[in-house]
Amino acid sequence: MVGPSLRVSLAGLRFENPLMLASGIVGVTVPSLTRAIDSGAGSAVSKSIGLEPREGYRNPTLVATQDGGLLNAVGLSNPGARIFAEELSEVRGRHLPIIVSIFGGGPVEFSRVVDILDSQEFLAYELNLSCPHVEGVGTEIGHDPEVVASVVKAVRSRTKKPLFAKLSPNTHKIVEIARAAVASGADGLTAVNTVRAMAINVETTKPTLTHKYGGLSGDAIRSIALAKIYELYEEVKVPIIGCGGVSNWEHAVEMMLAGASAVEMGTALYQGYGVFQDVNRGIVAYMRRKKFRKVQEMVGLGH
Amino acid sequence: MRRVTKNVRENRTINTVYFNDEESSRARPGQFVMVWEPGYDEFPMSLSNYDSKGLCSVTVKPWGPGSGEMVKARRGDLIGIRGPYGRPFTVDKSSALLVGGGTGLAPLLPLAKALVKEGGRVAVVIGGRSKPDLLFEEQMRRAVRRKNLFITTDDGTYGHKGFPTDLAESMIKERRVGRVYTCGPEIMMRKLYDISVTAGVEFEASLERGMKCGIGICGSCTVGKNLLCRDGAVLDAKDLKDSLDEFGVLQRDQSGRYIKV
Ligand SMILES: Cc1cc2nc3c(=O)[nH]c(=O)nc-3n(C[C@H](O)[C@H](O)[C@H](O)COP(=O)(O)OP(=O)(O)OC[C@H]3O[C@@H](n4cnc5c(N)ncnc54)[C@H](O)[C@@H]3O)c2cc1C
Ligand SMILES: Cc1cc2nc3c(=O)[nH]c(=O)nc-3n(C[C@H](O)[C@H](O)[C@H](O)COP(=O)(O)O)c2cc1C
Ligand code: FES
Repeated sequence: MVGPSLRVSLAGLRFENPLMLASGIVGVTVPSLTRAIDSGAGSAVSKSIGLEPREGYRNPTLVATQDGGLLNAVGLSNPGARIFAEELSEVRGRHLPIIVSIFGGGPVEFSRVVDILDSQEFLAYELNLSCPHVEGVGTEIGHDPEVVASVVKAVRSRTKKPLFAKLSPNTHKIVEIARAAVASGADGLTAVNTVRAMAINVETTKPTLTHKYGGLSGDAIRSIALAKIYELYEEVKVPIIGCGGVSNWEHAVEMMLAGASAVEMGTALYQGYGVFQDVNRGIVAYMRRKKFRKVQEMVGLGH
Repeated sequence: MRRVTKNVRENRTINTVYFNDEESSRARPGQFVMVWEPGYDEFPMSLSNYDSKGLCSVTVKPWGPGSGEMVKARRGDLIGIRGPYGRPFTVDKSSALLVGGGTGLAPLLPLAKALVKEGGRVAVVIGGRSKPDLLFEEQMRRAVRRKNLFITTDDGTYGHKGFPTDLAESMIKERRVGRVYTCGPEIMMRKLYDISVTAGVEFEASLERGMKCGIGICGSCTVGKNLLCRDGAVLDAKDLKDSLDEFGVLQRDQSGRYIKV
């Protein structure tokens, strides 16, 4: 008897398995993205790329919080669209399942980034509309349904590649924003980005991160992410990529039951690249036990 | 947070800053900690000493705001320490040649002690531009046998005149060296890699790259496919084989662009 299959397809894309490397996690360089794929990720999302190179904030940019979370304010450091396009040109012909995350200060900047990158060989864009700690390019854009609509429309008009809008959990308007993105041409949604948060060091008596505010990820946000995915699944009819606090197979399955067609992992990479294989194996064992043959059979079963 | 217990001047630019930290005292040679100078920066530093009583140290040369503040540390100052992180050097009985330059001697000092304790033959080459730049001559003299310690200065003001790589090359040819260990300027380490691989000798080097997280998440510390904070900071010849267009040649800056090492 053939075992369960991990293959998934969403927004016209086909992946070997539902696991994805989340944006901003090790994937600043093409060799790192390639390594995630070689290690068992069905696809890998790049660090968010903007128009110009950015160094990001001064350290400390990451700190572990006492609630099991990881707080970061890296500051969208990235080499800029031109240099990243050059780097992508090296993997031409290898048909790697790479998704490029992009950010910008509005429809014009997003469009320019797309114009520079679009001729390279990658599968889709993830639009970062949700960084909680960079002024002007993050939630200022992602929390306003009209701005989201204008960004998605602008990008849609310049590329044929599928678009995933990555949403912020830091708003009560997430459904409204998701609807605006879908109505403007988004093929899918990624939920969620980090939760705006802070840590204060009691010895120095000041916020630990140089940028003071950061984005929380990891275990501490999984339940928040799950509720957002569940809510979106009931309200919006495009595929959802789940993200936030997944570090083992049970977490991944939970997200699929809530309605995620694929699952990104970020902070879990502290376990090493081997985490993709481990989680995939766990999902297969679960599917066998519950007699699921395809991942799709689990998606949304929690409703 | 940890309190600085003392700050020792090692030479005209380099200081060793001591603190108590139980976790770091269980480190292995070549592991590093992330040191936080509140208000300035957080940066990776090799542990240069750690003992069973919890006393540890890092050995710092001032470059930018973080390390610049660190060398001025005074007893009682608060610093943050995370770690120890990273893959350590291999400690076994193979005949070892340690080659260090500048603050690169920092991880080689606990390595030399561990190798001697393991019972292997250990030779050390300390290189410096000039006599006042040498580091840890006294400490190494206490760690290894006198006849196995060699000093080189570029200008010949002390020890052998020339580069540590030249002396190391002739030692690899004349003696039975099982493994070369190195830390220092990357150009020097790259030369030693080429020499070691040609001679069929095992090779391990502790490299430096900008780091943010230190735990394999942010991706700022890559050398090819290697994440230096997790797969290193000690890399062996096998790890480096696919990264020779970067090792000793190029590194990524904080934005991810390539710059010269
Ligand atoms: C695993 C690991 C272990 C390390 N161990 C040590 C150690 O034991 N002792 C130690 O002193 N440092 C060590 N470093 C280097 C250290 O982390 C910092 O890079 C260095 O102290 C400069 O930090 P900064 O924030 O003060 O300067 P930055 O603000 O980062 O740099 C200031 C300027 O100095 C230049 N610069 C910085 N470092 C160097 C360098 N090494 N050579 C040439 N130019 C440089 C920069 O390019 C920049 O222009 C280690 C690095 C790694 C990854
Ligand atoms: C260090 C770090 C950097 C990140 N950078 C980005 C980024 O550039 N773009 C983005 O869309 N999300 C970024 N994120 C958010 C992650 O992609 C993900 O949404 C979040 O971490 C929650 O998932 P996790 O709990 O599995 O990490 C970053 C997260 C971390 C921890
Ligand atoms: S420093 Fe973050 S991955 Fe190595």
